[in-house]
Amino acid sequence: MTTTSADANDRAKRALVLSVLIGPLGWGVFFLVGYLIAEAACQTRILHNSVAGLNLVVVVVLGLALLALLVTGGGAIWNYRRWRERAWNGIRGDRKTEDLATFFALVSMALNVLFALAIVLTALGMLFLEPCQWT
Amino acid sequence: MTSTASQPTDAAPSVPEHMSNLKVRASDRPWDQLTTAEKLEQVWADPPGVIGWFKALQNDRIGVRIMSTAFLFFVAGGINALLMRVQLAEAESTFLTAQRYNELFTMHGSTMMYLFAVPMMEGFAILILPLILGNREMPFPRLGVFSWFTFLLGGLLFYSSFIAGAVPDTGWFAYAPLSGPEYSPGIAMDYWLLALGVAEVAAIAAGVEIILAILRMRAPGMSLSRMPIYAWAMLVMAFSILFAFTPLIVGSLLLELDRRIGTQFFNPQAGGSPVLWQHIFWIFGHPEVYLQFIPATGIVSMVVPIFSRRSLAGYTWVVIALVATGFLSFGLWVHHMFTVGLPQISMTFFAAAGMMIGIPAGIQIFAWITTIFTGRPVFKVPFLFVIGFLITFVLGGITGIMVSAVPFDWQVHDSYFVVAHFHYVLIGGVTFPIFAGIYHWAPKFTGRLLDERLGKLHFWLYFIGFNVAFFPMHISGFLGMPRRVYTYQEEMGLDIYNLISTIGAFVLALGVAVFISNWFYSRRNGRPAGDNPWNGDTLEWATTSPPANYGFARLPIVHSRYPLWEQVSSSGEVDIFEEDHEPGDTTNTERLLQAMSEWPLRWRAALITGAVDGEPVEIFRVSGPSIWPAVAGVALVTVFGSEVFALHWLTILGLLVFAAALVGWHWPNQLPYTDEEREFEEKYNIPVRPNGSLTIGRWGMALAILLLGIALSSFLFSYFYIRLENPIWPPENLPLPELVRPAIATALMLLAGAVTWWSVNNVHKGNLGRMRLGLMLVFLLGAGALGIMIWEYLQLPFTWQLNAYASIFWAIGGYMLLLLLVALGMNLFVQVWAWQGLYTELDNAAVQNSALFVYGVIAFWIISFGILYLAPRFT
Ligand code: HEM
Ligand SMILES: [Cu+2]
Repeated sequence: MTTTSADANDRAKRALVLSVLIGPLGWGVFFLVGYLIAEAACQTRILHNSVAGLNLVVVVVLGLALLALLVTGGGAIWNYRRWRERAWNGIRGDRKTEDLATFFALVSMALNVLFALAIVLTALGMLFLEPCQWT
Repeated sequence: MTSTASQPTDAAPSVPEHMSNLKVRASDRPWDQLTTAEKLEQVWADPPGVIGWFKALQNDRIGVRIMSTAFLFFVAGGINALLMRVQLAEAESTFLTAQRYNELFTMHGSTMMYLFAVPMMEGFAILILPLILGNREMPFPRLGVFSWFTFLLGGLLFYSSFIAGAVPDTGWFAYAPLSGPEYSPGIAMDYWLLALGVAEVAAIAAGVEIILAILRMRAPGMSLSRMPIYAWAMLVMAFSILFAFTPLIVGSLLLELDRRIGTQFFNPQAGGSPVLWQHIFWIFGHPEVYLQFIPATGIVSMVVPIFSRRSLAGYTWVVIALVATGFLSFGLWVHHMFTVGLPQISMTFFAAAGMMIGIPAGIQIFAWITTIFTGRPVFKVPFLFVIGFLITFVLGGITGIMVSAVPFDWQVHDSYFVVAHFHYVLIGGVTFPIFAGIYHWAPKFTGRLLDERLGKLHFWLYFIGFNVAFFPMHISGFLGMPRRVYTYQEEMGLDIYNLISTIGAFVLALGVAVFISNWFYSRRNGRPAGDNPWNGDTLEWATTSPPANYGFARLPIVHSRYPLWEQVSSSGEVDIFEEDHEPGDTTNTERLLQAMSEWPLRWRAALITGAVDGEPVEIFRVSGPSIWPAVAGVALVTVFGSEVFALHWLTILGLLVFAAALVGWHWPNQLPYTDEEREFEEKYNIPVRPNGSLTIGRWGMALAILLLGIALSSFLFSYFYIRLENPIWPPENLPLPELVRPAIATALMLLAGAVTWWSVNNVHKGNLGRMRLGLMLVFLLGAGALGIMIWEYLQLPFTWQLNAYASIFWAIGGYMLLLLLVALGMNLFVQVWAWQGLYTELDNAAVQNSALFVYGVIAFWIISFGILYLAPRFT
């Protein structure tokens, strides 16, 4: 029960679950932290100077977005590799994704892409707005 | 396959001790003359009689009770709606007063959102999940009982506001300051906050149980990549419940404190903010819509393939869509607040999430349509409701896209266009799938099919009535009819649309009446369904209708996403037990399941499987009938209910009973760990836990800590929000918080953590004396910290009434002290049992779980200490 191979197996499974959560959590952290910074900056007087024509708040949040993108984008590429490796393994058709590793690779890849897209959309929006103007 | 399995139980002489509360047994024959199935049936049976009714905890029974209760509230909410529609049928009607109308839309919206859809889905899950997953029970059946009593009584408490003549009237989102002490004196809003608050506790309790069932109690071989979509949907729903309802409970608590003891959270004159309520509410409220919709799509994804006679197209993509929806739904809350005003930069976060959420919805619709068009559909009633769902939901989605365009939103905000939109989403997206599910799974409730002809009549009345009622509302909305008005002038030209709406509403109601008659008619006269009337693919169709008490005597083995379609023996028969091969090829799991179908018969055994791969991990005893969960539910509702009337003595009494009930609930009921267990463990290489599972206990505790952490985050969110509203912090020249005593308390807590670790370490080594010593030390350290902090709070130069800062300071401190108190109480009981020698090196789940709780509390403590005491010094 406590042999090392069982432990390795456990770790592998934990990695599978983690790989699914990377995308959503990367976006979630970006969302929360970014939103709080934005609110804090606009409510108070901090981060109001501008750098290279961009407001400092925007720069900070964009930096954060970049960081989050690295995580989700990296997750997407890594999982794509895993998936491709698996998918060419000779298992065909619908059966393919019943294989745990293939299934998780595909799910993780798609979620990473989806949430990377969410981050990109947020960042793009920021470039065109007057950050602290009330709507 | 009979030769290898040992049958040690046949030697067991008499009725097992823990079953002595079963007065009447299924059979009068002595225990050792019963067949295996009869023995199983008895071990899993609910006790008879009136008291037995309160103790009963089987998942199918509790599931049906929760569903029936939710349906009752659906009818009640529907009656509210019909009364409103009568009022609106003609211009300047005097059927209802303005006040009564306000009450009715509040009760209607709140009933539907809190007491109907979510509990309905949870009841469904409790009933059907163990069957779909191929296991015997839910992990914490007693939690289900508690959830049902709390839900039922909480809902009745809410409706008793009609009797008290103090009906809530501020809408289903109860915006502050309208709902605050100044504008809503009287007890109506206390009803809303407290009765619904306690019903939300019920929803969370059921959610915890659903998560654990899905993750840890599946049939062997059912890896996550083979799990039916329904289970995926319920998993996402249950997690969303934890993350959405917990903030709402915290928000309700803060508002109630404002109303009752003069805190200032939502009072702008004292540094609070009504907009804080809007944030907290919609952090809950937006996901709330999705967490009704997600399980609904889970039902649809089960019904569509069976009635299209092919597997669901794009299984993996549907899973992706469900998970993505769950997360994204939490990034949208502000879209209900567009008209409040926000900095543009904040808006981009929500706008982006709003654009994204269409993608997963699109994926799912695409998957269903593909399945239908490439299949060979059979238009039975469940499928009709699915079609109705698709049509309605797509229409609702289109108007949703319109409403989410910001300029359009300003135009139609708070008009009947919005009322039409959300009813298309909620009735179309939620109630149609619920009816589809009820027709689909009726055999697993009653053993009989619901009548097809009545079902079709129900569908057409419901579908046509619905569209007649709600389509015209788009038009009256455009014509400028605002929502939440009790009447309109004749000159506005709204009469005809409103009259049509009212007629439609009654046709819809007639549909529901037909359904009710169908239910009662078919329960007696329906066609007996047999195991698998629809030729379904998932495991619930592999057992009898209605299922036996134990669900599956022998658990199935899963090798496919569609076990009943693909696991077929060489002679063409369904073979979910994998019996069709040479005896020599039998795998270890198969031998285990074979053996488990015959042993143990003295206690309720269920299987725990790996969260990811679904391989067998442990056999454990599911807890049996007990009166305490019901008592706990009644007591908790009493606590909340007595506060409505400010009967503090009753509240305290209720709390004491509640605490006592919790202790009784968890009172150890040790079974001896005999040679039988030991033999089985060795033979099949799997741990056998006749005294409850360490794994399940640990996961349950982890979820409880997660829940408390979400609550803490909600408090901290409020703290930061109030911080932003107050340029000077602490405001009003208050001194920075004193450090000395809290620092000492923190040190004591850390020490308690270290000693806890030492104590658990010693129990693993079998050093029970040191474990007991450790537990005692932890208690003393914790009590010391508690004492010091109480002293600290007594010395504070301000009370919670001074301003919003003071309020949140007290609230977070109070929450931490409460957690500490709970940890101490838990420690106390574990100690008592430890001194009685209950725990051993191998059997000490309670010690380990209470240790986990201590670690959690310490972590929360440090975070709160940092934010309350340290952070203000640096800003
Ligand atoms: C059974 C048929 C139903 C009818 C005839 C109906 C009718 C109505 C009417 C007339 C209103 C009040 C509109 C106003 O004056 O602003 C309303 C509000 C509402 N309904 Fe329904 N409804 C039905 C079902 C549902 C269902 C199934 C749900 C949710 C699952 C729901 C959720 C709501 C909500 C949340 C409100 C808003 C309450 C508020 O303004 O605070 N309704 N409905
Ligand atoms: Cu929303």
